[in-house]
Parts: sequence; C-alpha cells; structure tokens
Amino acid sequence: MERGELEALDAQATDEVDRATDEAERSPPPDPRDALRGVYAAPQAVPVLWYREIR
Amino acid sequence: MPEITYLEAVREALVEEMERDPAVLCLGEDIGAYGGAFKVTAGLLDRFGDRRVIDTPVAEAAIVGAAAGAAHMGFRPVCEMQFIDFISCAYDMLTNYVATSRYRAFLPCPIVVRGPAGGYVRGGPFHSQNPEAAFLHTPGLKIVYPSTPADAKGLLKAAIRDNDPVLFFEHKYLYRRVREAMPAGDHVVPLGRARVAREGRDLSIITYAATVWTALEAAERLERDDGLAVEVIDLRSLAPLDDAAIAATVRKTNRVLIVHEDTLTGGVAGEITARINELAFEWLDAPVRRVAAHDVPLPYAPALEDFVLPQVEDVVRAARWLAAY
Repeated sequence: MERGELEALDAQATDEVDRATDEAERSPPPDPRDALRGVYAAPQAVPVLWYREIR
Repeated sequence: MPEITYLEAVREALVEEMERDPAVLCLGEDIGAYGGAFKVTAGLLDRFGDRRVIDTPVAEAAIVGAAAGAAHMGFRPVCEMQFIDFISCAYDMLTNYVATSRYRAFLPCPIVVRGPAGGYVRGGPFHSQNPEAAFLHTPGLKIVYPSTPADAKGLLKAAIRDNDPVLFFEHKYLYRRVREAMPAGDHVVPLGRARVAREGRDLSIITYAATVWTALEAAERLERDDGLAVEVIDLRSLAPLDDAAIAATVRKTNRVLIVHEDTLTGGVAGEITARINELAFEWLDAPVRRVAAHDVPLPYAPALEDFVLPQVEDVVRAARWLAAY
C-alpha cells in the first residue's frame, strides 16, 4: 500500500468517527429506562427495582 | 503523617511488603515499564528490578497460572488484572486450580490477584464490573474489597501475608477521590473483620467498597432530614464474611438494608440475607431489603449508568421505607 492510500484511509476513518460523535452529541440523552432493554429476547426489558418505585 | 490516596495506599502496601519479604513479587500487564494502567505500580520496576516486577503477555490465565507455580515454589506473587473485568479470563485457573490446590494436593497457593473494579466512571460494560459474587461461591478463595485508603493498605498487606489465595478488589472510582493519613508503623488489617463506619441505633446499612460512601452520605441526609440514626457496616472482606459483626448490628438496630454496586440477582446481599435469617431472625422488626444494581450489563451513557447503579437517593428512599415498616 502506498503512503497516500494509508493517509486517505486514516482521514476517512477519522471523518467517520467525527461525524458519528458529532451526531451523538447533538442528540438528546437516552431515556434512562432504555438501560433495562435488550438483555434478553424475552422479556424485552428487565424490571425496575423496588427502591425506584417508592414515592 | 501526610494524607495519601487510596491508589497510593495500595502502592505503599506493595512497596512495604516487597521490602519486608524478598519472596513477594508482582506480575501483570504493563505493570513494569509503564507502571500499570492506573499507575499503581509506578516506580516498582526501578526499585525492585525486572525479576520481581514482571511485565507479562496479555494472558490472564497465564498470569495466574505462573503465579500459582511460583507460589508452590515459595514465592508470594501479586498478580495485577489490568481491569478486574478481565479476571474472567482466569476463571478456570482460579476456580479449578488455585482454589482447590491446598485441598486436592496439599499445595499452598498464597497468591494475591488484585485489580481495579467497579463503576460510576463511565467505563461501560468491560471496564466497570464487580465480579466478586462469581468467586464468592468458590471454596478456597478469600475476597477483599476495601473502601478507604487505610483499609486498602492494611488489607493488602494482610492478603500478601495470608497463606491462601486472596482476590483483592480495588474500587477505581475511589482511587484518587478519597485520601487519609496512614496509621503509623506496620499497618495490617486482618481479613474477615468488618468495621462500623458509622454508629446508629435505628437502622443498619451493610455494604462494602464504593457504596460505603453512598451509604454514609445517605445516613447523613437521613439524620438531618428524618432524625434517623443509621449505622453503616463496611464489610471489607466478603470471604470470609464477618458473621459476628452482621449479627451484632441486626441485634442493635433490628432493621437491615444491604447495599452493593454489583447486580442484584445472585449478589453478595443474598448470602448476607440468608445468614441474617439463620443468625438473628428473631431480632428483625422488618424484612431485610436490598439496594443493588439493576440486572443488566453496565451501559456507557451517563444517564443510563446512573439509572442502573445505586445512588444516594435510592438508599435514602429504601431506608425510609424500612424505618417506617
């Protein structure tokens, strides 16, 4: 691989990461309860623990 | 005596033990020339040389296996896991070989496996774990998880001198956030003994590691806002557990909240709850309750990590529920 090709690859990767982080920083923070989703296929979310439900 | 951080206290224990006993050596990834990922072992290579401060390949099972062999030959190795999450790569060596070697073959295996554990640092699922419960179920291993610099130093010195394998968890959130002056002299804290971090009469919080500080902050708020005198027990050692200290605080306050940062299901709190039922059930005025992390891998995003892990407000709410029961 020529040096120029490597530099172009580096620039492409850096640009892709920069665009992704810029978009993430522009986006609203996630709903905290999203943390409970996706551990298993079913159930889709694990339960909120008891101490969070006390009012 | 000047105050030092939790991290410096760990380093001080290593230096003092290596000076005291030429059989003590350290091995791990980047612990020599680089001084460790968190700089716990900074300066040790220059001081003790590369035969006692050994940089290893990225191979946790090999680190623990080599340490076990050295221990059989009379050394007292201290292994560093760069992050304690990676101890799972050495699970086979620790549970099948190290933990059983005395029982199987009369082969003492006095090694320490230490490393940074825990969350609250936005480290995500591979750099924030609390794997203590995975090893609590293995006879033959001792487990230590200190919350203060003085205990970090004194317990590490005791762990290195112990004749059995000890897993020594260091909370990375505390590494540079807490500091205190060390007790004078050869400060050794015996394994298996809890301490009363705060005296109280209305309710006990039993906890360890970073959540000791969470519990103490909650206790202050509960005293100020509710007039509750909350006792906080810092377990310090998880194996062996200090049954006498647990039973004593139950008999004193009659209400117990167990708080830990590890996930709820299968966590240390379940074992403590069972022991309270066996040792002091008649003294309880309320059910034992647990505040722990939600049963999910720890996420990176701050809002998600904060939701998953126990916070001061959670402990306050749970304590109020118990006090009113």
